[in-house]
Amino acid sequence: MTISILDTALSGLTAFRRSLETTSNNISNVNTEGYSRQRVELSTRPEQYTGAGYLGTGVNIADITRSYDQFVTGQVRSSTSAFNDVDAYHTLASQIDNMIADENTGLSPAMKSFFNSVNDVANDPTSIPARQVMLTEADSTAKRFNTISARFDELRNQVNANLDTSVEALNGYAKSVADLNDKIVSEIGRAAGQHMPNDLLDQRDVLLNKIAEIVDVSVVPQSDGSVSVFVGQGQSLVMGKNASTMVVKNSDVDPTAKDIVLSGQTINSLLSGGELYGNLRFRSEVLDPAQRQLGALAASLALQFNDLHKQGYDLTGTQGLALFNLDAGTSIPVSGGVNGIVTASYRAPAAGESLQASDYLYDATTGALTRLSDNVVITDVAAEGFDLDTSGVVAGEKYLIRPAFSAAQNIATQINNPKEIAAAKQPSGVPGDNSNALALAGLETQTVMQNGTSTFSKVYGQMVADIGSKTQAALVSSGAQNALLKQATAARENLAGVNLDEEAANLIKFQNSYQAAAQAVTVAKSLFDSLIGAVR
Amino acid sequence: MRISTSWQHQLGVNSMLDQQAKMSATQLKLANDKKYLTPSENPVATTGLINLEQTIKENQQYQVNIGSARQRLSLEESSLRSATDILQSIRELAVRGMNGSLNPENRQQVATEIDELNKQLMSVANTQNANGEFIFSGYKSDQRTYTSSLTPPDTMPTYGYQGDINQRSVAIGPNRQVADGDSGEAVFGVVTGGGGAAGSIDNIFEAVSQLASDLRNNTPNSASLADIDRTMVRINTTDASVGARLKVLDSQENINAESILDHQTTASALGDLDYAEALSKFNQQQVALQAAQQTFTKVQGLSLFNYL
Repeated sequence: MTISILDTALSGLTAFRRSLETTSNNISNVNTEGYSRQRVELSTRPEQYTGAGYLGTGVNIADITRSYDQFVTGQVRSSTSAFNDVDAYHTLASQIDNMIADENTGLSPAMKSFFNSVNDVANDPTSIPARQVMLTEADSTAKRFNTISARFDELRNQVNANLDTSVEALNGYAKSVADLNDKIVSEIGRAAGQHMPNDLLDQRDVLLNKIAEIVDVSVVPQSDGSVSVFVGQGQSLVMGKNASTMVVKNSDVDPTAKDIVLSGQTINSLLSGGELYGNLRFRSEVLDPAQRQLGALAASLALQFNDLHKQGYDLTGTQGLALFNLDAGTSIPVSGGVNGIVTASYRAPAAGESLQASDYLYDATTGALTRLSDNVVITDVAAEGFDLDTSGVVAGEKYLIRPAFSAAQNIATQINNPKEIAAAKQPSGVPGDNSNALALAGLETQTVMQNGTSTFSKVYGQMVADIGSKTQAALVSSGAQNALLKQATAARENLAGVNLDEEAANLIKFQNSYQAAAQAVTVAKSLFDSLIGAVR
Repeated sequence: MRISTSWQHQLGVNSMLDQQAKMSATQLKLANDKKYLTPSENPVATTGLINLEQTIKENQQYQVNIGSARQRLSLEESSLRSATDILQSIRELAVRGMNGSLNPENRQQVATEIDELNKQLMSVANTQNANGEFIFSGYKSDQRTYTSSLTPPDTMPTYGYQGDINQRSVAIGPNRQVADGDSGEAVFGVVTGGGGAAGSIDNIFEAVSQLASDLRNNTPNSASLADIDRTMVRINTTDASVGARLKVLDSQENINAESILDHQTTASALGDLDYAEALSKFNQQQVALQAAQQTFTKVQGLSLFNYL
């Protein structure tokens, strides 16, 4: 009889001690990332049949469970991917955004000063200082193109570095998830499927979230307790205790870009979230088009200016030389050929021909030249502003022709002698003739770009607006995704997070229960003492 | 409904960070007097501003061009006025010289005076501007406009014209150009190298030189007056044309100035900061930040553990 009181009380003591330990665990882990609060599940022990009814025999610790909801956790993961995608994109885009419209670093003021100096030469064609200023301004404009292009290159390197770092981190996390899968499966096996290794599960969730920051994932729980992690559209990253490795390698066709490869397959276009996607999207939607637009502007300015300049005569009566190094006949960079070769060069400006801000792909197998900005097959190459020589191709290869991409990086002035500025239209050294200089100055307001519809300044303005609106869209999107992420995180925290006040209350509760159970032990002892005393 | 301790803390921190970021952006705008710090805040307005800026600067350059054209035309105008005065004197002397009551000696004196005036007239024709360009030489502005050389046994100097017939243009407005000079031949007449009869000599120096020579030979030809008059008409016509061009410069300058002002007003309305609005926003954000900070401190102090 007393033994059963003792026994029952002891079960209570054990149960409440475990509860206090769990509460203390919760309190210690209040700041641990990804920790789900744990609680002890108590259940009654089997009852005993006595003549007077069923008598309870105490309390059992059924299980120690964590507060966990698969849906909420999944929600946090997908929000994390979406937010990191837009956030990475916005951070990178705003760097370009800040640079191009600034008065000190932007292109508009430089081009304006250059054309002002040409006007000054037109006003005063015999003045050597005015000519010297024009050469200086031309040089300064070319250098400004170079600087902006160099900044784009820096960002491209940054994107590549981001890709490298992220993929390396991802591989580390994937490996850890695989290891945890292994451990979790064996722990579940040890507990014969009755109890879950809560802390290991929490750690795995944290790692999965970290992976979700980098790339969007779908997580499929398996029956043995492990999870399979799939990336993009079904490429497996982790399966049981095996993790695949993601690799960053140089693209075949474009030497400046890098591709993400998983298990031998390039998955750039299959991703849809996470930092990796944000970086790739930035490169293809903002950085590369901006570089091409800038390059098309630089090349058009150089070609148009050179064309007019070469029709004039300088102070010594010699026909004008090309002021800029990008001229009709200058070769255009082509990449992608291993055995064969394709050459391309700029054409002199002509009516109906216009340089576009695009790259072109020549497929040697089909003989088709595709303009990559809108995927249109080009039949009249000359209308695109350049000449193409495909006599040296090898079948099966693809060649990437880039008339606009590196033009801003390469543009430079070639004339150093102010007397060589061709301001005159008449040959034989007529110094007071400014008619060519007038024509050159007039180039500023002529619509020579984009098939005869825009001036140089308008094209630059369009580029600024383009980048600005993309950055703005990214900012708005980022704000929205952040709000969604916060909501999902709040839901998870409210479910699984530790509340110190609640734990403090639990401490008091279990402490009281423990004291009460201990009191029951004291009563059992005194009953026994009374019994022994009665028998003596 | 429950809330976890760490999330509660995070919410408080987040709201403080948000307010700080907003305040910092407003502060930058106040310091730079700009409504939009980056194009992404308002891409449409930014493009508009770029285009406006471009137009304003183009017009400002036209004003500079107008200034330079005005200098040249003013110099030409005063040269033409001097030429007119000299030509008047020559004409008066010519009339006096043709008076039948003069004796050969007097005619010699008149001829000498006329020669001197002719040399003065030629130096006006060879006027140079501040850059050393000859203003009546057309495109060949480094060449002396008129040359004269006297090699005995000739009695009259040979004149040469080293300029050309072109007029230099200056861009003063969109699609507007103005000629900033006139060629010597259009004003002073075409040089033929001598050998014409008085009355049909086009170039004034040759005509006056012929007149002086005739006076020295005591055979003044009244047809020389026709030569002088012809050049006088040419000079007056050119003077009127220069005057008209100067007026055009003035009116274009006004048009450009109005255009600049218009565009600057639009640009200012588009891109300049409204200080009243920005300052009141700044105050609001300041108050919000202070509130966030104070409530954060108060809430962090509340815990059941304080009472255990």
